[in-house]
Formats: sequence, C-alpha cells, structure tokens
Amino acid sequence: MKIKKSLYFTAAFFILVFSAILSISAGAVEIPLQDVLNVFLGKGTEINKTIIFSLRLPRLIVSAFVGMGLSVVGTFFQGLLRNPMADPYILGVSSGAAFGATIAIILNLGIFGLSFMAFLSAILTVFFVYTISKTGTRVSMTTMLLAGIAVSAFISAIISLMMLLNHDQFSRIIFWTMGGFGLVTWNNVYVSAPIITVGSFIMYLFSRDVNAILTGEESAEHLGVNTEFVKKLILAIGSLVTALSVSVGGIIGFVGLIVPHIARLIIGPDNRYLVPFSGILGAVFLILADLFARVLLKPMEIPIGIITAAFGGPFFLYLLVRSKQKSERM
Amino acid sequence: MDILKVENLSFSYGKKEIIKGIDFNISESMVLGIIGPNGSGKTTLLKNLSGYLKPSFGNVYVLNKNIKHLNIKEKAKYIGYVPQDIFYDFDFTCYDIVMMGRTPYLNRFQSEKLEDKQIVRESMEITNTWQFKDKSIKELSGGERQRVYIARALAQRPKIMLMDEPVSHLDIKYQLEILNLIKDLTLKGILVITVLHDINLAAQFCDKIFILKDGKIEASGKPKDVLNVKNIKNVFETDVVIFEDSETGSINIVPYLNRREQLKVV
Amino acid sequence: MKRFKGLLALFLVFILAFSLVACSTNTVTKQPDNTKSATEAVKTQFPLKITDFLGREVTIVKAPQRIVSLAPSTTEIIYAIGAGDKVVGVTDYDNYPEQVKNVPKVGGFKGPNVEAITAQKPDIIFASKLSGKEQMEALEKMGIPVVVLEATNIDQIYQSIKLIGEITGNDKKAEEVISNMQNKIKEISDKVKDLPKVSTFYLVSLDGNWTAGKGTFIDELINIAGGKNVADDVNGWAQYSIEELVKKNPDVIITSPHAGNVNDIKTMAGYKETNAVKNDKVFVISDDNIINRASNRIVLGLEEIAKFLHPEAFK
Repeated sequence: MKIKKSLYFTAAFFILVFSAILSISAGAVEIPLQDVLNVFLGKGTEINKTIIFSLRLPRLIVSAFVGMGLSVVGTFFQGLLRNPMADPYILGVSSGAAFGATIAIILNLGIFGLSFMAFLSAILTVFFVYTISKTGTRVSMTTMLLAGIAVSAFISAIISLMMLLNHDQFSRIIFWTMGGFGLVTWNNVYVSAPIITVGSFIMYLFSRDVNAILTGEESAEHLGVNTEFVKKLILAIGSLVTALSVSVGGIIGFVGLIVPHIARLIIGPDNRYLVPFSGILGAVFLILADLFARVLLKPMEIPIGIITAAFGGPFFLYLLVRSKQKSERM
Repeated sequence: MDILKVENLSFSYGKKEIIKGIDFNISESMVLGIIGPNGSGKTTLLKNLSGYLKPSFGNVYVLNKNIKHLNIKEKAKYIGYVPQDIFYDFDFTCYDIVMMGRTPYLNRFQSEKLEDKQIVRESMEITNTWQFKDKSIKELSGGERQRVYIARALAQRPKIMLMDEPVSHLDIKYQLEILNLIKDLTLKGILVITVLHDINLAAQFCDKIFILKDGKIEASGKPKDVLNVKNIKNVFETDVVIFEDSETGSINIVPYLNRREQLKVV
Repeated sequence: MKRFKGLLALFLVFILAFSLVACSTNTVTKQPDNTKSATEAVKTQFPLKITDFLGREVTIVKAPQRIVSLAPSTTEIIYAIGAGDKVVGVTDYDNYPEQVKNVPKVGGFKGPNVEAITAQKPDIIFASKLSGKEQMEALEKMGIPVVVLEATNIDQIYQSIKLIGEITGNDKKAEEVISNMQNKIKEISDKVKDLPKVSTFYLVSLDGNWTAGKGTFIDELINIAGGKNVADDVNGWAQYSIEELVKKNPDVIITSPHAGNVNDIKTMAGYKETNAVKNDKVFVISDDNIINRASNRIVLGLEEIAKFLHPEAFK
C-alpha cells in the first residue's frame, strides 16, 4: 500500500519536471531545444536570453506556485467544509480581489498598484465575511459559506455598476478577471513563491487535524483537535495564499476545485498524502495550462481561465465516470 | 477517588436553561444509562460532561481534575465520545479512522509510534473490527461502522466513554452486539455513560440509570428500582406494564395499549 | 458509450473555447452596394432608397429633421457635414463635438433605450452593429427608418460620410469633408512614402497585453503613416505574446491614455528590451477616439501617428 503511494508521487514528480522543461522550451517564439540549452549554458542570443530568462522562466515559476497554492487551499477548504464543491474562492476572495482590481484599473494605478489593491481587497473581504459569520469564539463553516456567497453577489453588483460608469475600462476589467500570467516578472516570483510555499507548509502541518475534522467538527474536538483554532488558521492562511495567487494571476477557476478531486481519486483522502500530491498536480496543471494559453493560437494569448475550464472539466468528468464504473463493478 | 464527580451543573443556551443543577458522583466503572423524553437535556448533559459545552454554572471533575482546567488534548486522554452520527462519505480505511483516536498523544510533527499501532490493534480486536482494517469505512454496515467508532474512542485510552444513542439506528442484532461490547468495556475499568432511547435496552444493559426530566435527574439507581410504573408515568407521561422474567431477572416494559384493562403489575 | 460522453464533452468545450476566442477578432463587414463612387456629387431626391452596411434596403420618405445617432462615430460625421442641429438623441459614449453635451442621451452601456429614443420623436435612426437587433426592429415597426453603419476601414468611412450626406440632404458638405480627408491623407502619405517603414507596435492595454492586429483602423493608419504593424500576424483585437514582441523588436511603441501607466511599459520585462523603449520612442496618442472611431477625425489620428513614426518629415 505504502509502496503504491510513493510510486504515484515519483510519477507525479517526473511529470512536473517534464512539464517544466516543456514549458521553458515552447512558446510563441520558436526556440529549438539546442538554443534553449545554449541560453542556460550562457551562450545564447540576446533575444533568446530575454525570452527565456525574463519572460518564460518567471512565468513558469509563478504558474507552478500558484497552481500548487490554489490546489493545496482547495484541498483544505474541501476538507474543512466537508463539501466537494468548495474551492479557494468561496469565501469571497475572488469577488474581493476583482473589486480591488477594478478600482485600481479605473484609477490607472499601474501594475503594482493593481496587484496590491487586488490582494488587499481580497483579504479585507474574507475578514469581513469571517466577522459577520462568527458567533462568539466559534465560526460555523456553513455560515461562512453562505455569507461568502452573499457578499460575493453584492460585490459583483457593485463591480458591474463601476464598469457601467467607467465603460472605457470595461474590457480591461473583464480580461483581468479571466486570468493570465502574461505580465509576470521576477518581482512576482520574489513575492509569491516564498509566501505560497510557507503558507502551504504551515497548513500541511495540520493535515492530521483536518483528517479528524472530516469526520465531524464535534468528533474532532472530542479527539483532542482544537477545531476552532485549526479552522481559523486554515481560513486565514488559505485566504492569504489565494489572495496572493489572484493578485498575480487573476481569477483562475477550476484548479482549486478539480485538482484536489483528481488527487483524491488517485491517492486517497488522507490529507498527509493528499495535500502534497494535490500541490504537485496543481503545479503541473497550471504549467501546462499556461503553456497552452501561450501556444495554442500564437502569437495571440488566450486567457488561462478558458484553458483550465476547457481541459479541467472534461478530464474530471472522465475520471468520475471511470470511478463510477469501478464501483458499479464491485 | 471518584472517576467522575459533577457538582451543581447548570447549562443554558442563551436565556433557555437546559440543565438545572445536577449533582452526582461515580466511583467505579459501570454502564450508566441516561434516559428521558426528548428535550430533557440528555445530549446537552453529555456534552457538558465531555467538556464540549462549558457549563453556565458548576463543575465537572474527572479523577479529581476539573475539566475546565484541562486543554482539549488532555481532556481527550480522559474522555472519549461516540456521537450519534459521524460523517463517513470518504474513503478512509478503518485503520486510519481508529488511528485518529491517538491524536491526543501525537505531537504535530510526530508520526505514529509502535505503541500507538499496538493500541490501535488492541482497540480494533476488542471491538472485533481488526478484519476491516484495510477496508474503506464506506463499505461497512451500520453496526460495523459503529464498532469502528467505538474502537476509535477506545484508542484514546479514556477513563470515561460517553455515547450518544449509539444503537438507535441499528438492527437489533447489532444493537445487542454493541451493547454487549459496551458492557465488556467496563471490565477494563472504563466508566461508560450512554444516552439510550430504548428504555428496555437500558433496563437490560445498564448497571445504573438516571432518568432525566426538564434538565434535572428525576430518579437514579438500579434499573429495577428506578424503572417503575410511577416514574415512567411521571417522566414519559405514559402508562406501562412491567414484566419481570423470573429466570434472568430482567425486566420488560410495555406501554399500556388498552387503558380499560386492569392488569396486575409487578 | 461512457467514454464517448467524455470525449463529446471535451469536444463541446473546445468549440466553446475557440468560439469565445474567435469573437474577439473582427469579422469582415459587408460593403454597401452603392454603385455611385465616393467622389460624385449628387443632389438628393426624396423619397430616397438606400442600402445600408448590413445590405438592408431602407426607404427615407423625406429629409430627416430629428436624428438619433447610436454611434459616436456617426454623430461626429453628422456634425461635420453640418447636420448637427438636427440631432436630438445620442448615446452615453458621445463626447464630440462639444455640442453633444446638451443633447439628450438615449442609449448607453446596455444598448439603446427604446423608450428614450421614441420620446425624442426621431424620424431616422443611425445605428451600428452593436445596437440591439430587437430594439431596432421595434423602432422600425413604429415607422422610424433605421440605417446601420459599420465602417472598418477608411474607404468605408468615406462611404458612411457619403451616405449620411445623401440622407440628410447635405451631400455637398459631405463631399467637402471627404475631399478634405483624402487630401490630408495624400499629403501625409506623400511625405512618408519614400521613407523606410518603421516597425511599430500599438499597445491597447497593458493588462493582458492587448494590441490592434490586422484589419483594425490602427493597423491601417500605421500602414498609411509609413509604418509596419508588428502585430499584423493576428487578426483584430488580440492579446499578444510578449515573447513575440521581443522577437519582433519594434522601433516605436504607441499607446493610449487608457492603456496603463507608461512607466510600467518602460520598465516591464520584455518591453524594456525593445528598441522602442531603449530609444525612448514610446508615444501616447492624445485621444483614443481619433484612432478608434470611424469618423472624419481619423485623419487627426493618422497625422499624430505619422509624426510619431517620421518626425523628420513633418518639421
């Protein structure tokens, strides 16, 4: 049993490395593999160096970390809420970020301002949702879920109104929300990679606790798990990681929802294995999605949200059907 | 030393007082049954005993320690809790589920030690669930699942096991199986306090019974002494007939169907 | 069968994805089928039968006195040919000329408002392809003629001007406007025609790296102004790969006031390696509308772009 798991992990790791190599070597501009190698060996042309080091490499790293972050958060939120439909955005992070981004775009605050506003607004929104949902020291996940939906709906309406009154910026706002890594630079790497890694690691330490919480919050508390603390911690860090991901890549759907499921179908529900496995699969998923976004209709770039939906959805359906067939045969 | 001592326990949900001053102490391991009509506060009492709910007034002592002063992990080393329903729509193996019972003894960075594995195995063997260890919890029947949850609580090595209607949703075969298992636990020195819905099962398996009414213990004692027509009429507002089996000494409580019939009662 | 279901779903989503992408590119519009050339002056006779840009035949009974314009480009043309005093309704987007500030607004973000339009009692409506089909049909049923204009290149702008001139009875003025435009364009293109083509990139918006590809006005203007649009390997409005931009290495980058912060452009990875940024040839057009709108002011846009690309020729 244990042997099987490590096999899956090894396979996943190799796929990750392979995807990374693929992503570096392919893009809108054709760079033969030999030339890619030359760049790393220090003998490439200026143009190739710019493309590989300034454009493709940071993009690869950020998409990998964002993919990992969103999948890890999705796994934990699905566990905490005991709801397979949960994703990192349900508590209002996405609408909050869109709100901040809309303001930044209307005020023409520049790229850094945009990321900052998206991030800040996302955090504030989740905090607001948390504050209105808690009763005393406890917070009910169901209440937070519903509050998140309500707040998101409200914010979306405000955003629509703002777009109405600033129709010049309409398309800019829309396309920010669709997500993409087109303008990722090394600065984004320096900010997002460490925070996403540390955040994911801290959450991972609570895998066992979330396993217990999966059997019921009350049950978990009777087992010695400090349920309220774990919930708050995961919500806080999870929202932080998600907000950061959204501020750098826009609202990329499906990753946080589907990757945990795919991972679970392969490796099982134990978060101690599921979380890292989800992380690796998520990184692979976004690296490849970004690759397709760049290459499919080159030199035109497709918003990455379209790719994740187009490929994620059907693939997940396929896995579901296959697992249904398996259980029917039993 | 008392295993469990409850002093003037009161609990309110907001303005509504559910538990109104309960005192008792238990000094030996036994099966203590709590029965009473719906709304009498049985589950609330149980959750106050486990420490999940904080009493509005009063104290609960386990082995002379006030549970108010124990943190969540420490409490879990003394008190195990088996609730009525546990969410089980996931593919954890039974072994994994029972291993969760070792959480109070495991540090965040530790992995399971040999001792933990031995305790899990023991708990599963006592509950006759070791053969399911690699099976997914989803694949088990209701009775088998309940045994796994009891094994999990057992793995906590508690002094007290609290159970909330552990057999209400099971077939009679499994009801008897679980209740027998519970009775065996007391042989290991564990005090089992269980809320039961079925008065007859309570009569058969409990060493002592509390009848709860409106948040107070209306009557307490051995089943034979406590389960009489008067008490049952008082608490459950039902007329019953009580039969005693001369061979086993067990009693059987049957509600009156026809009031006009005057039957001799024991 | 089950495997087929998965593949079918994948196929359907693929179609959806590609059609969404395709929507962002411009499609070619039908040319109005006018046999008269753009430079012939003809005095309008009413009732007038014309064919609009969608190929629809519209009959205009008499010279319109109350005009509703549902496209800012059309509004500009109407004022330019001297029929501005007859305009009784414009959209929220209209901002040129000054006079439209005082004209009632009858349409906005969500399209034309039929009630607001009818309240102005128009006797003709100039619409665009974006004006909702249902609303236009409703208005036509009320007996108000609807003429649809949609110019996607300069030639079609001439045709729009001519058509509007015909319809409003201001043919002569329309001819003048067209003439002036043609002269100005010739003047500019003469100045640059022997100069080497300057490779140019137009940045519509930094978020998403949007550019104007082949088939847009901007593309056409760049060509006439003596430049080469490096992004003409994509059609219409598209998100352009920065990698490709680095490879193409434009000498000039032109952007709009709404594209984003110019400083971001100059420091952005990929951008900062281009000749344009290195030689400080990043220019901001004064007003999007002179390069986006299908009106006579397109000539101003052309002039600005030409001066960016070939400053020496305009001293």
